[in-house]
Amino acid sequence: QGFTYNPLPPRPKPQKVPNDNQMLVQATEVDYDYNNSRVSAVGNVQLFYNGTSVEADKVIYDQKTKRLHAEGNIRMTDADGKITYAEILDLSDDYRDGFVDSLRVDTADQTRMAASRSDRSNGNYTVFENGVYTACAPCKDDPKKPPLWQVKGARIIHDQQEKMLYFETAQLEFFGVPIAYMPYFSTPDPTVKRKTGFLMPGFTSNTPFGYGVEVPFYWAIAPDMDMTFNPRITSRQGVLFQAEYRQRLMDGAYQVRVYGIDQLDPGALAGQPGDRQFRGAVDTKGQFALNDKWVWGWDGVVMSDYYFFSDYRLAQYRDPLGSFLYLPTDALSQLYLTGVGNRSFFDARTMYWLSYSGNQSQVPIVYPVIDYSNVLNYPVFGGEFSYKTNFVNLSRDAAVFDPITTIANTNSLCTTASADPLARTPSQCLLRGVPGTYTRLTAEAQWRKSFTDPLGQIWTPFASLRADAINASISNQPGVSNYFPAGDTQAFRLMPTVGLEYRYPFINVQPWGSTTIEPIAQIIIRPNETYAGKLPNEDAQSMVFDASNLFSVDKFSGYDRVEGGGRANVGVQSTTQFDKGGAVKVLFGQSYQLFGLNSYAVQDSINTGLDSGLDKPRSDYVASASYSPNSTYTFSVRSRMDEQTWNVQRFEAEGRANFNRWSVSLMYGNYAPQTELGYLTRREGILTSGSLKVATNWVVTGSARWDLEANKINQYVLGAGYVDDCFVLAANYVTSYSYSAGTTPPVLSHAFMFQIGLRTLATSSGSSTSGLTGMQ
Amino acid sequence: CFQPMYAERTDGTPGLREKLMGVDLPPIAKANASREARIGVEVRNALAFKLYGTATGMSPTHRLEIRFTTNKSSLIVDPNTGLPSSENYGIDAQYNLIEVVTNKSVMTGTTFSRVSYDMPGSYQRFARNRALRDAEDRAANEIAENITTRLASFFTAGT
Amino acid sequence: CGRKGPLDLPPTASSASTANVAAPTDTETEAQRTPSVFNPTYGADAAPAATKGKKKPFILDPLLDERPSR
Repeated sequence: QGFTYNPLPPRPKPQKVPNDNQMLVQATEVDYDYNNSRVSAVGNVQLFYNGTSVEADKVIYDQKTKRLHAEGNIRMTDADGKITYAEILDLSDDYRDGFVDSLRVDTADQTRMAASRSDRSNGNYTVFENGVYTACAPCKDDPKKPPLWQVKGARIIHDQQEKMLYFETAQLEFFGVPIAYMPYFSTPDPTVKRKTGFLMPGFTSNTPFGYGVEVPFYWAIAPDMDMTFNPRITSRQGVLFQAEYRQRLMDGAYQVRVYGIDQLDPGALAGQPGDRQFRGAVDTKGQFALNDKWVWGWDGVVMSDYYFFSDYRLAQYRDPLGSFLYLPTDALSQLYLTGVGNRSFFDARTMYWLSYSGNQSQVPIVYPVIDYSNVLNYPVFGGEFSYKTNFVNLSRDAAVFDPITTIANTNSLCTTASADPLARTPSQCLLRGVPGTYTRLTAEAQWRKSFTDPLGQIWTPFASLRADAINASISNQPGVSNYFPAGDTQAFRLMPTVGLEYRYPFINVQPWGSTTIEPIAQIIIRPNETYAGKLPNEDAQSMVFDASNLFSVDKFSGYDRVEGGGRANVGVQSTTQFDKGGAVKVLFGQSYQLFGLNSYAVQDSINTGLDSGLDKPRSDYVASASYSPNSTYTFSVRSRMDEQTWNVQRFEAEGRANFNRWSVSLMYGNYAPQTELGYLTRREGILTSGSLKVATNWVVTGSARWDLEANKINQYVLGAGYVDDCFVLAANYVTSYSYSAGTTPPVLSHAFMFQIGLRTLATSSGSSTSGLTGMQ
Repeated sequence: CFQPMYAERTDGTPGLREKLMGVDLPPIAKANASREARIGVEVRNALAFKLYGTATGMSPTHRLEIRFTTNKSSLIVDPNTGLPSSENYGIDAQYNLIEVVTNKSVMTGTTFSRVSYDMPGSYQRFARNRALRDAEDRAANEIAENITTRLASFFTAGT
Repeated sequence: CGRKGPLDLPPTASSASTANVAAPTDTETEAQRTPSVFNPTYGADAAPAATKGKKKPFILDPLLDERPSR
């Protein structure tokens, strides 16, 4: 989104002024009118009294009535920095009591109050006659133009003790147009960060529950504790009860959210998991710092059925754009301990995914996964020594098979129920998930050092030793024995590696910039991968061979497979840097299986390396190009071409342009079929998102996902509204797939949301910074 | 014309490698509990080896401050299940090279990296989680590579 | 009406601890604070986050940065 708005101007610090009850008067001319016992000072008059100061053109002080009367662009600054402008000012001599005409008050937190008359009596109440209250900064060019929203009241009473503003016969106005009348209305005054009371209502609608209005009530229990009750009255299913409790402790915070609804019309969701009387969920999250490096926390979610959050647009679905761009497919419950050092990292966590697409028995439970890596911050034998370890222990209830032939797909040979003799056989299906418990401990140590010779060539010898200890206890379910022996299998795997990386960077410096060309070659010597394909593969199922892992010593995406045999990776990269900014980078290369077993040609239970382009002695060509002339544009293209026919197996292009008034980003992907991996058809799609500033602060933002293979825009989200540093008026519409429940194909759901957000206080106080800077 | 960047200087001035070894890398500030904390450590470790060629550099002449944001998006959705089958991961980094003596910024730049990962077949969640982690490592390494190339050309060409 | 904002440290917090500067954030929390057409909350609904954390020992510290003893 490419809109920017002006940051808050810094507040001038109010200076310290002696308050010894003496009124100090300065003016160009002071004349004493003895017979009326009045003193009048004329000409940029300045009065200092008890820490407040008044500046005006003319000030008349009547000693009999003890009333102070000032006239002409008056500016009164009181002790706590509140500045009041006025035309006529009439204050009692100790500034407590008095009344001001056509007064404007700028409080410390950018809220403004103006009134035709205001009376400040017994130090606590300021009464504004037909006053106006707003939190929006006056527009720079025309301060008199009505700010975006303001609340006008016949009388506004500001109670400084209670820190409350009371409006009598108030009307809410947008752009000077009254849209809501409220006989009586009160709101906390700007210095209050949290205040019990009703928050802005929201309107939302989605196919499963029809239309819904949310009226949140906020209860500020204590500075560190609060609750929010947010009932949503829906037209079709009745009242959805939502409650949230938040508490902040010394070194962290936690929250608990509870949802529940007694559905009036479950039949409307017939055939879906939501077809039940009571639906609800509990969602909790907490995070605490143990010290400046270590933190622990938890996320917990329990749900009545797995469509509840998507049907009622809760949790991740509250953010329509975020949940559209990165599809939430599960509610993750986890307990974690994380430590972050300068060069080391430790993370241990248990993970339970509550799937939003059903098939819960096929989803593994990880208890725990531990990652620990460290790079020693002192040279060992002159080079860099680092080690990393991973321990995973997971179990899964039910096996899951995927079809790899069209027959298997059409006759659903790969379901656990199919009785066909061909069912669940390696020729037709992959065993995507192994039932039972799988445990692996991996430890790898690596040493490397770069030598630069006088000619400028860089030689980097490296050596590493990796050990895996594996125990797989596989439960004997139908078809599993076609892939793995049921029962317990133990395996110990050792992978010593030695290798050399060679680079020879050249540079051509020109007046307009410089171009570097860098040939890179790697030779890697290793024994063959033992137990290749004989063990379950849980964490290395994604095998994408492209420019980003051409020079990775082990191209598998996880530890369950290890790359073996001799391999050479060769490529050249060139970067052109323009002096006026911007750069073009191009990389092209290929990988060669020198000797031994090509780990990517091995058929494991999910054919990880097959169809990846590495599964032949000479790999496919990989290339990438990225170009960003300045911070406004970025383009990048990545592709993998077949090493004989050069036709494109995998192609991704991406472009992004950020202007002040509009921004657009587009992502295109085109992937040839990889039947042996389960991708039976070509996959081609576009994901684009953009935003357009129609007028200052009015923006339209949208995103669409286009399935080119099926040639339809199957999902899009649209949002329009007004956004600035004090107010958001937003309407957005989302149409996206719900996940297929059992046999029903995915259904397109349509959701609409209308929300108002009023910021009456900068959230800059306390720990969080309001940081309202422009955003690319 | 093209000449080797790391070749020994005939005029006795320090070679490119010594200059790169003088670049100090302060840790990248990210919330400890976030995924990006690990990526910050990966970028810094990868950059340290690409610049120094060993574990540590020499006494710092420059300091390189790095900030980055990340983004993820589900590009391809499987029409039969509605689940994502291919996702993209990206890092956008901004860096600022500051001369230690004058504490003045001598060069600023931006770079970005985009990688993708697949979730074949009926979508295993632990596999997606680890595929994302691998994509993060690949993108972090690309960012370190791009920054190294930019620093090397800056110290050679002076701009 | 009411107003929802980020919570403060508990009153028992001594002034020394409140001086700890804001913890660094990540892309997600920054995006949550920036108002947009899809997020009108101005960060009021931010997820609970750990503070910067005081410098005090923890049994697993040795795992992280080794002192350059050699």
